[in-house]
Order: sequence, then structure tokens, then C-alpha cells
Amino acid sequence: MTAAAMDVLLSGQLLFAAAVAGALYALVAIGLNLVYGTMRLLNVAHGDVVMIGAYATYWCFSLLGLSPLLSLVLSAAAAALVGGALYLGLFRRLVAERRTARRLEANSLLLFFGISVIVQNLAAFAFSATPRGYQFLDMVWRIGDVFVTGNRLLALAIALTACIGVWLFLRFHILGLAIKALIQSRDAAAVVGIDTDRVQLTAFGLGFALAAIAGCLISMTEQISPFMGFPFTIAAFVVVILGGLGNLTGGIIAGFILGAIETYGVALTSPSLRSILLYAVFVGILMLRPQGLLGGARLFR
Amino acid sequence: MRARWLDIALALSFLAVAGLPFYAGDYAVGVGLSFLMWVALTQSWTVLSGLTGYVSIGHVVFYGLGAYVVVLLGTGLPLLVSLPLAGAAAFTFAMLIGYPVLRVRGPYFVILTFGLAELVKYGVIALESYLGKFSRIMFGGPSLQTLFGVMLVLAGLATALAWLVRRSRFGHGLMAIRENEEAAETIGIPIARFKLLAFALSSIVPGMVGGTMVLRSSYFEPVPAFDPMISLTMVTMAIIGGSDDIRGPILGAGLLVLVSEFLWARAPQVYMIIIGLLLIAFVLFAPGGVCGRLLRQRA
Amino acid sequence: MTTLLEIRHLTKSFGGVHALDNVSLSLAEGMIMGLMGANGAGKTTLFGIVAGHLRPTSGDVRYRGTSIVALRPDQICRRGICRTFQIVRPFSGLSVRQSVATAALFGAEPAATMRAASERAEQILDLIGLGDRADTPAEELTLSAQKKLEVARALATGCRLLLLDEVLAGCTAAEVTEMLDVLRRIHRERSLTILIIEHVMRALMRFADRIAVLHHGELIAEGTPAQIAEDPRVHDAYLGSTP
Repeated sequence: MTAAAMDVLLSGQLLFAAAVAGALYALVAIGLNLVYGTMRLLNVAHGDVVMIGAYATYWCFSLLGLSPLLSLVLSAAAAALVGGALYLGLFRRLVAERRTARRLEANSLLLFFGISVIVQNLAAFAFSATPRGYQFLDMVWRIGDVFVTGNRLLALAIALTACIGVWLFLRFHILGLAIKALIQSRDAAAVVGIDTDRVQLTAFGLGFALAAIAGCLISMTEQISPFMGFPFTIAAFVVVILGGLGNLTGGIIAGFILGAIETYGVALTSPSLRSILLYAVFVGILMLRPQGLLGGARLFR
Repeated sequence: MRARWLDIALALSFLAVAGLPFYAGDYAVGVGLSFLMWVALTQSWTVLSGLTGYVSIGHVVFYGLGAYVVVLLGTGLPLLVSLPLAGAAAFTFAMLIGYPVLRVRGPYFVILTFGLAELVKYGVIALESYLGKFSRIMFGGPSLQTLFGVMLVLAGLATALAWLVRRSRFGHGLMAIRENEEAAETIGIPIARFKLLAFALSSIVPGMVGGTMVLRSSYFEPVPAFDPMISLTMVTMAIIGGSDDIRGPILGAGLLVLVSEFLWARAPQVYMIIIGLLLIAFVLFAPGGVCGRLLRQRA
Repeated sequence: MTTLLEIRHLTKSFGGVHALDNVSLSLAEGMIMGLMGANGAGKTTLFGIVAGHLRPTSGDVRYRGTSIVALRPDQICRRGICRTFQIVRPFSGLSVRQSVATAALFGAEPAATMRAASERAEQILDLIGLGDRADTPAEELTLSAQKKLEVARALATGCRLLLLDEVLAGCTAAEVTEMLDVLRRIHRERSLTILIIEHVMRALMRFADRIAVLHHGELIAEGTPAQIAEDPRVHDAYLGSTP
């Protein structure tokens, strides 16, 4: 490796880029982790919630002139409501019936795929497939040797704040503790008197809200399109598998690892290899850990 | 009784489709070709996903690889050489990746197949741009009527394969794996080998279909050749028609090809939304598909 | 009598905990061996190793004189050993007949044709008392009928050594009596060798020729039911040691 390439790799510039990507991945993954952990439902439409959050912010900004910081709060609240409604309307029944229909496990994924296809194409129909973007806080600041744009710095700060907020919630709030208990063991949680229904509702709402927040932040820094969601779903899977089910600290670390793999991998090769890198990590991880999110739980009784 | 009428109806429709080149224009032959293509793809898909319960939503990977192989071979070779090579390439790829992929179960397998197909797609994109190609054009491919004949054979092959496997000892082993993998292993079924073989068998015809379709469109680009919507359409057709019976994929393909003729050109997004809605509706309310409903025979 | 199964110095540890600790045991052809022990004593681990689901940390399992510890479950089944599961694992979507016929197509004595498999399934279902439920979906059976189905499926593979994992658990007293009758009948008619894990101690005392007792992974006693009933170590293990 040449000395010049070495300098690029060690620069604060790349470190900053990796940190922004990592924080966003961690944030997206928390929602997937919560929903899968509490309900064992693999939501492959999770990335589409990110996409919706991004579009909501975009339209609020370009039509109403609303600051993304305001629409962040609004779309998080809206996404929480949508998530809650979806839970109450569809998935509560699905989870309750799961014991009777065992083949539903693979099929539930087909349901989410159906939902994902519908949402993406509705978005393409309504907003057209053209990528969009807007300018917000795009002035460049210099911190030491590193040049950062305001929107990236803000995205990093908000994503980290949200991650820490969820971490504190799970650690200290009674509902957060209940979510953790449910992730550990559904049956035991019910036995010790946890209202699983309410906990799952919270997990669903919170998961959707976090995905929408991530969407807002992404829309400030990148171009958005109706089909941008799926790579985020994949990234979230990678983060959850690496970090461990129900393990937020692990998830945040894994988010940064993935952000670093992606940023440095692209810097070492070329930007066109970004997707290959993401999918290769995903495929590799599932092949190495075939039991997926559940860890080493393939016991014979 | 219903089964008898269904068979007669299917046989008559088959004759009507097979004879298209003799009495209909290019447009109708094109629609017939696309119907036969979906029959071939969906029947092959059921050999893996219908019988073992390992639902693949990345089967387009074999289609795309077959297309790529044929485009690399060029039009100089006769179809009888290039198409089997496309099938062999898909088969080889399936055998190579099958073992680690099939250790992954349930929903993880489903999403892994998708990720794998995307990985191969981006791999081919990178390879092509490294080679300095952005799309490849093929001149002097066979006529539409020839390709129709080829696709008729492929649809027949896939249907025959699905029928034979379903009746064989091997097929019963696959169904046991679907119903309970640990129990299947306990009664002496070599599950890893069976799953691998089903995976590889289900890849051959899609590879050849991909090779045929690239001759039809006479150009190759990785993005449409590895379009995930092709996988999704296979799954939806199998679920709509019912994958417990070889008649299911034929019914499912017929229904969706009709819908697509009305909508695909005019409103592709509406078509995709309808596919999504149909998939959800059938998974939730009629897991046996149209065929299961018509025949009411729970396996 | 010839030795069918020989377990030699078997040890299995899970991250430092000995689930099995130097266990040796041998089964003569045609005998019924009972395996007793509290929860966590290592009974199911022992089954898992014999049936090929687990690899031992050390030690050997020999069936008809050859080692089988390196084989997969399906290979072991084709040699003639088949197990049932404590938590039943039915082929959910298949009927009772299809479940058993599928087992007859594979295993140690695969049926030559579908028809032969189906006929063997009918015979076994009649023998085991599920003949009238042949067309019922497997998952709709009662628990005790599902346990019978587990036994029927194992028999259909043509096994010579049958490993039964708590087939009486969850059955009523009447069902226990019935199941033991069925098991005696198949033992007699098919001259099988049986290794059975059971919590229902009284049933085991009546049913088994010999009994082995595991405690914290160690084999603490092995003998006839009468000897086991008298053994002070077994009493200690079950009732708590007296100083």
C-alpha cells in the first residue's frame, strides 16, 4: 500500500464518514431488533419505513418549508402510530395464531415481502422513481483536519442521542425492562406477569418510530428513492446478527463495525462495490451463523 | 370429478397455447412464450420450495446466470449446445453454494436467497463494468417461433421433473423434510444430500430459460436479467396456483400472465402492487392456492 | 447372548459441565434396558449421542461391533437404530399413514415400492393400535396417540434397536398400561432390543429386564429391577443422602 493511500485510510475524514454510517445503521437496526426480539417476526419491510420517513421529511421541507428537525418529531410520532395500528390490526393475530400454523414462519416473511413490494411501488407511483434530495445545513465546517457538513454532524448527533435514549429506556424504564425480558424468554415473561400485548405494542411503535427518525436523518445527507429501503433492511440484519438479539450495546458496536467495513471497503476499492460489500457481508454472516439471530440455540431435546 | 374437468380444461388450453405459432400472430406467440416461461420457472421452483418448504425468493439468480452464460457464448453456437451449458452453469452454481446455504433455515433461508441473488447481480455488474461493457447486444438470434418451441420443451421438462420427483422416494423424503427436518433425519433420510439435490434440480431449467429469454430480447444487462421481481413473480404464481400439485403452477402462471398483459406495459407499478396484494391474500387466506381450493384435497 | 450396543467410557461436556461422565453400558440383543435418573442426569444426552445428534467429548459407542459415534443420525438409522423424541416431532401436514409409510421408504429396511411401504405402514398401525386413525392428519392426534405414532414411525424404518424417550410421559394411567402392552407386543413380535428412558418408575420396574441409573452424568447403578430397588445409592440419589 502506498503512503498516500495509508494517509487517506487514517484520515479523520473517513473515520467521520464511517461514524455517520455506523450510527445510522445502529439506529435502523434497533427497530428490527425490538420487533424480531419480542415477536419473532422478521420484518423485511423495515427499510421501507426508513424510506417513508425520508419522503415525509422531504415533502415537509420542500412543500411546507418545515425544518427536518420538526418533521423528525412529527414523522417519528406518525410512524409509531402506524406501527401500533399494524400491530393491533394484523400482527397481534398472526403471533397469536402462530402455534396452530407452524408453516407460517416462512410464510410470514412472504407477507412482509408483499407489504414491502406494495409500499415501494405505491411510493414509486406517487412520488415517481426519480431520486430526490434537498439542501439543509450543507455548510462545511472544519474541525481539526476534518471537513464536515452541518447535516452530517447533526445526523450523527441525533442518531447517537436516539441510540443512547433507547439504551437508557431499556435499562431503566419498566416497559423497557419488560421488552428485554420478553426478548429473553416469551413464556417466562408471561409467567412472571408481564403484559406481553402491551410490550409488543410498545416494541412495534418504538421500532417504527426509530426507523422513521433514521429516514429523516438519511434524507438530510443523501438522495432518496422509493427503492432505497431494502439495503437498509439488509444492513439492519447484519447489525442484529453481529450484535446479538436484544443486545443494544452489541448492536451499536456492530453498527459502527458495518459502517467502517463499508466506508473503508469502498475507500480501498471503488464506490461501485458498495452494494457487493454489503450483500457479501450479509451472505457471509448468515452462512457462518446459520441459526441466524437466535445464536447457538439448536438444541436437541 | 372436479379434478377430471380441470385436467380436460388444462389439456385443451395446452393444445391452444402449443398451437399458437400455427394460427396466431407474433403478439399472441409472445404472450404464449411468456406464459410457457413462467410455467417452466414456477414448476422448477416448486421442486425446491414446494416440496422441502425452503422458500427461495432468489431463484432469479439461476435465470440471470443462464442468460449471462448464453450471452458470453454468443450466437455462434447452436441452441442445443448453448442452452444445456446455461443449465449446467446454473446447476454447478447451485451445487457449489447449496451446502452452506441450505444449512440456514426458515425465514433466514428466505432472506438469504434474496441477498445471494442481489450479491450475484452486483457481482456481474462489477465484472461487466470492469470488462468495460454496460450492455451486450446479440445479433442474429433464432426466430420467435423457434424460441417458442424451445420454451415449450422447457416448460414440458420442468413439469415432467416436478411430476416425477413428487411421485418418487426422493420426493417423499423432501416432503418429510418440509414437515419436520429432525424427524426426517431420524428415520434415515440424508437431509443435507436431499436438500442439495432438490436445490440443484430446481436450478437447471431456470438457467436454460434465462438463456432462452436473452436470445428473445437480444440484449443483456445485469439489472433486468437479475431483477428480483422475477423471483417474486415465481413465488406468487406458485402460491396463487398452489404448489402441492403440478397443476398449480400452470394455473398460477396463466392467471398472472393475463393480469400482466393488461397492466405491465401501461402501469408496471400497479401490476407490482397487485402481485403484492395477491401474495398477501393467498398466504393469509388460501395457502393451498387456487388448485387446493378447486380440488379440496389436503395432502 | 450377543452384545448389540456397547457404550464405552462416554463423556460429554457442555462448556465444562459434564452432562455425561465416563458412562459404560452394554445391551444384549433382545433385552429391554431402562434408563432412569432425575432431570439433567444425562439421559437425553446419552440418547442424542447414540442416535448421532451429538458428538461425545470422549468415549465410544459400538453397534454390532463397529463404532458409530462419527455417523450422522440418518446413517445410524440405516444401520438399524431409531429413536423417538420426548417432545413429539410429527410430520405435521402428513396423515398418520403417510407419516409411517414415509419412514418405511427409508431407514434400515427400505420398502421396495410405494405400495409395499403403504402396506407395511398399515400393518404397523394395526399392531400399535392406530389403524383406525390412519387418515387423520398427524398433528390432530391426541398427545398419547402422537407418542404411539412416534413409535410406529420408528418401527417402520425396520430398526433392530429402538430408543424410546419418555413415551409414557403425559399419559393417563390407562394409557400407560395400554402403551406398555403395545410395547411388549412389538418387542415380542419383532424381537427388538429396547433402550427406554422413563420417569414413571413403577412402569419401568415392571417393563425392563435391566435398569441403569444416571445421576449428575454418572452411572451409579445397573442391574435387574429388584437389585435397583434395593440399591442404597439409588435411594440416596432419589431421596437425598442420609448422613
